[in-house]
Amino acid sequence: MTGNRKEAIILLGHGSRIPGAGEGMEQVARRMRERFPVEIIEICYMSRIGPHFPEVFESCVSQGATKVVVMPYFLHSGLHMLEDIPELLLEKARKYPDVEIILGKNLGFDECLVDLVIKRLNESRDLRDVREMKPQVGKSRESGEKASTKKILSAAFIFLSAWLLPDQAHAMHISEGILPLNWAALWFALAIPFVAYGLHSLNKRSREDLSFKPLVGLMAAVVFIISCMPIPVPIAGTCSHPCGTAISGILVGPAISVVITAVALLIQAIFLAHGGLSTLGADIVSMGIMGSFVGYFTFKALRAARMNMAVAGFMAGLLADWATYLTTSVELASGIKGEAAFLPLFWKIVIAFIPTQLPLGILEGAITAGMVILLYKKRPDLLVKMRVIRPGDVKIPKQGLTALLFLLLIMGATMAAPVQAAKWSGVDEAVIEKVAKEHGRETKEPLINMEQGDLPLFLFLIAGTVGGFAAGYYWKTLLVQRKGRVTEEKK
Amino acid sequence: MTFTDYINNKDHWLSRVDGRVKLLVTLIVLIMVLSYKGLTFQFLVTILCLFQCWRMKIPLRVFLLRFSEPVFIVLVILLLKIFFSGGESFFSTEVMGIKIAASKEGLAEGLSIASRIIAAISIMSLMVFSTPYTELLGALSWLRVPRGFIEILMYAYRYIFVLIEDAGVIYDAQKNRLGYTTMNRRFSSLGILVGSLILKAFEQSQNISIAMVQRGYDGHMPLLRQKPLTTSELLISFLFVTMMGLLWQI
Repeated sequence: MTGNRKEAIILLGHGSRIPGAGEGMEQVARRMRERFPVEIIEICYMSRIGPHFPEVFESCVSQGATKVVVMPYFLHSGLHMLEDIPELLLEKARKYPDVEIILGKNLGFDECLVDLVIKRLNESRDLRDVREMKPQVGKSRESGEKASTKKILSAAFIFLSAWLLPDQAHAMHISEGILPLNWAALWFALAIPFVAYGLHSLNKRSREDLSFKPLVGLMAAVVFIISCMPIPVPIAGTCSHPCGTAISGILVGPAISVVITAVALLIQAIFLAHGGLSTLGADIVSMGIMGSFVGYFTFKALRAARMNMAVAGFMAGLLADWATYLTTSVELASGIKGEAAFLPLFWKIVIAFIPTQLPLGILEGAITAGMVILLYKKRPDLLVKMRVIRPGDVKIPKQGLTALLFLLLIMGATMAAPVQAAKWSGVDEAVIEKVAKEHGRETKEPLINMEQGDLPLFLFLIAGTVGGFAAGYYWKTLLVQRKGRVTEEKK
Repeated sequence: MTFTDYINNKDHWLSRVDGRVKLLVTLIVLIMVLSYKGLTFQFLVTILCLFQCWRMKIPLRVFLLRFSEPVFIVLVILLLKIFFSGGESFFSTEVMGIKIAASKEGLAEGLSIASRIIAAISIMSLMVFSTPYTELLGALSWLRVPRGFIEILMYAYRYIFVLIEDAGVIYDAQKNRLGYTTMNRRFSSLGILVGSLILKAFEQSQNISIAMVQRGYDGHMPLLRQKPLTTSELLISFLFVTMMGLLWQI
């Protein structure tokens, strides 16, 4: 007690993920309790393993403390000292205006520290050579765990396997919970061998080059950002966006690209609820496997056919994107069809994807081509390192015009297709349908029949498309914090 | 972009439960949700998880953001199933000469899928709101997810923020120079943005690799060292899973 205020002291250390690492500071606190005339002396840590400051502070206040002195057990005035700890204290100061909160000095420099270092030095001189030391930190984590934990783990795995394995083995962002268990398990079963092979390739290449894993992590971050701009698609029950898997497939190969996509998808599922844990298998199959392999093989095939880099990159991005969405349509239709027939639902989903995926595919093709060309011009050494080109292939071709022409050709063909179809419909009826009928194959009902009661579906599609675009456009209003609020918080 | 792990409320009891236990229980309950044919269990799981999220004082904006996409999808699936499934109708009307009929079977199927989605998202949200990323990685490693995969998860998570920051700087510079005023400029600026980003990122990864090697990096990143699981945590989680299993049987 000081005056009429009840005082508490909190020793605040950095802490560590290693249990028991804070033993030294805890001993200091125990000795202080014996020697210092303050009733409440507590400790807490900044790191993930607690106790943490907020809960320890609350505990002091609940014990009646009206003055809290926080002593940072830090040698240096680093970021924790300058920013994090004052922020923590200010937060509590706002909540408890009646409690006096003092941020003490850190350990910093003192003559007694010189004595301490000299003492430690004297104690250390006779220690063994570092090569003879038993490794402490590098010890396998499981060595510290009990055998019972392993048994529980095995039981859990057997239990999970029993759930996952009996289903037959078949398979982008399909939301959590959309797929029933059997379909979710099926796509996981298909995805796992690809991910395993990708990890095997990753480990092999990272043994040769230590910088490879950080590079793959970077590619995962790029795929994450590219595939993080969702435009909700009506009817399909999913979201539409560029995938970025073609460029990763081209740069690091399809097998490792599957791992990259799996990582990006898992982070999105965990933090953004974009995709899901139960639908991760299906998402890996559509985005990771289909996107990466189609992108990679398209690029390789076109390069082998002596197509220039821009066209090969464009086609790889375009086809990878479209292949992803076709697979997603298959996954969705099979997952939500219930007792209904698969094909009509599949076509409805494909049609629903078209308004967003047709332009997005072209945009993804352009982005992929742009990235490949930029890397080729600015950093050909990276493409050589990634085994995309051979060292002798490094020369800058004039390919902008060809790429543009190719792009225009694809866009023109896509736009002209419906017009041509309308012009030749008479031929279809007069020749093809007639011949088909003679052979006993009658024409089936059209998918959207404007005259036979399917008008609501068509209107729903249009309304949904407009709604999807509007929702996609205004999505940012949820993501971007309002300026007024930020200013208020800063005050 | 709002990442939800910083929301982690350390004062809530669930935040103090070991990440491995939470992940395992989440996976088991998720499997139950996916395999349940009905609404009762999904409803109970949703209520339980949302109540705990509310107790954790998750900011409403973050909560709405997380649920906005799934809720949109739920609405679409419900509409799709109710009005386009066919079968016996429980409601029909005519709007401007177009007959609209709502199907009974469609409603049942739609509700079943919708409840499954909401329950699955709720249980995942509860786990994410109560578990920091590093703890989650530790739990994945404990579940024997390959180390290489976890290391890439760590790198990716780190690089995402670096890239977003870089992208923001380039975007602001382009915008201030009227880079997004016309469609042509937009495409051109976007191309330059993505290209510069990937080049910048490549360079950063090289620099970081060199810095890591200098600090003793041998190709493997150290992972979270964990305490042994306590008997009480295991017992309580076992009882919880058993209780959920019994409810699942209903």
